[in-house]
Amino acid sequence: MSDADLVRAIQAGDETALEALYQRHLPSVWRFAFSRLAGNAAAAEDVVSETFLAAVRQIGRLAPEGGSVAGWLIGIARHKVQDLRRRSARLSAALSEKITAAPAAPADDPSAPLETAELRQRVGAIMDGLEDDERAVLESKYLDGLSVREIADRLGRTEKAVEAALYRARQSFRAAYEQAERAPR
Amino acid sequence: MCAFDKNDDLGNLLQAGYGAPPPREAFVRGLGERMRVELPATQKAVAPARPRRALSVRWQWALAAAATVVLAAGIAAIALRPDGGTPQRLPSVGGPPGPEPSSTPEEKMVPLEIKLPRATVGPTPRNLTPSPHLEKPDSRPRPPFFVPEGTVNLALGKPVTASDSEPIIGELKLLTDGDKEGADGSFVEFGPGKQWVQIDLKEPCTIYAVVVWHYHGEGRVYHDAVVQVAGDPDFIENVETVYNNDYDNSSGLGIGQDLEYVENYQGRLINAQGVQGRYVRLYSKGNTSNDQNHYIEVEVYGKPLGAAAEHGTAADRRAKDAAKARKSS
Repeated sequence: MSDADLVRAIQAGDETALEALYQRHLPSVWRFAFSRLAGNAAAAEDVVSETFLAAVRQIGRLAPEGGSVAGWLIGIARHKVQDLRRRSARLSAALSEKITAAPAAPADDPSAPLETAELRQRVGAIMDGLEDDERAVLESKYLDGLSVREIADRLGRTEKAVEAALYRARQSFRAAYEQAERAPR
Repeated sequence: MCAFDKNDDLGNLLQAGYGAPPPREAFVRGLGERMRVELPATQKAVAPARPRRALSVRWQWALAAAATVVLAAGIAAIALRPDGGTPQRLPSVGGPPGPEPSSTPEEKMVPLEIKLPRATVGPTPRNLTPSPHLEKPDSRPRPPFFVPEGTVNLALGKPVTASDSEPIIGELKLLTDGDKEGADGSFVEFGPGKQWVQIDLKEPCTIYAVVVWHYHGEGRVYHDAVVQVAGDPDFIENVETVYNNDYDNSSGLGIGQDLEYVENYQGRLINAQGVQGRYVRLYSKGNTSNDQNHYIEVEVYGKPLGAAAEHGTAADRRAKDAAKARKSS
């Protein structure tokens, strides 16, 4: 069932479809929040909660064929991160530093060695800078382990279109990564 | 040499740099339950809106042709008027100042000073096609706009209400907080379809200009931009429309004769021509990049009516006359 089919079903009041859409996109939104908040799982939970609750309140007005659901959700999450940072800044300078500072060691991932912090920051920034579709297909393929056929079903596209999107996404990622490597640190 | 040369390498890199431990099961279950609770309320509150881009090419041409006919009829009607077609309404944007400059000291006109955000050069505009209803993009600095001395931004810090009291992103107060940057966290996002925001100036005012910044991080066009001023919060009586680019009346507020425009960091300056009122309402209906509606900042330049009466200038009187003439036309 494609995202558009699920959105239509949810708009008709189908709770099962809501659960399916939630389970489908939770990993992506979670990864995004976790990355942007430097591995602070508690803050990531806040952002993910606010993102999905805002989405469910607005989904009745979402045009099913109007664009990428993954992109829409990440767009909401991106700004929820900003909202959280603003609130944190008001409430506590200390907490603000914890959340907004350039990530040192991820707070809730003590097993991660220090040298991966820089890699996380770089890859997170590159993923955030990709087009919504590019990020979605890369995650689906390499992090969720989906086949091209499965990704096509989700996005309501042909396998050819997904392969083309994957090609473009790899090129974009590679170019951004190489540019980041060349940049002064 | 790139750190990854094969797809497997890319997978490993993404796992290391973007992977995350799974969220807590209790959190996942709890959030799922909260979403289910929210769903019925959502169904009652909203109805699907047909996206503008769903119009077929044939319909777009038909609507464009119809709008052109209406526009041509309007021009002909103006040209045939006994007064020789003198427009009752000054150009809305970028044109000469509304109230004319005066030679007497008490009516001193000054250029409106607008503090602009940092100039942004966003990505190439998406989904933009030339249209008779779309103004040619122009990134040059805006020509000076003259207003009576003493004109201030009346909207700064004033309360904002909206058709959607729970924005998807941001808070309503961001519209009048003075922050015009296009960065994340500076704007409010409302749901798809026709939405409005409204500023309460707290007292009747004479308004010379409204400046609006939708999202300007990329060149995009917001559809059906309409700006109205009224004396009552429900916009029932004495509603003045000072801007309307809804060329096909798809928002139901009447066919507008202003042009659609591409957003940029300078915002859109709308000549309000000294209209009087307490409430300013701005409509929009999605944009060329998505169906949502965004606002970064709205400024309303003018003077409280009390102050205008106290310092009563000829410019203010002319502004009132212009408003009356507009009403009668």
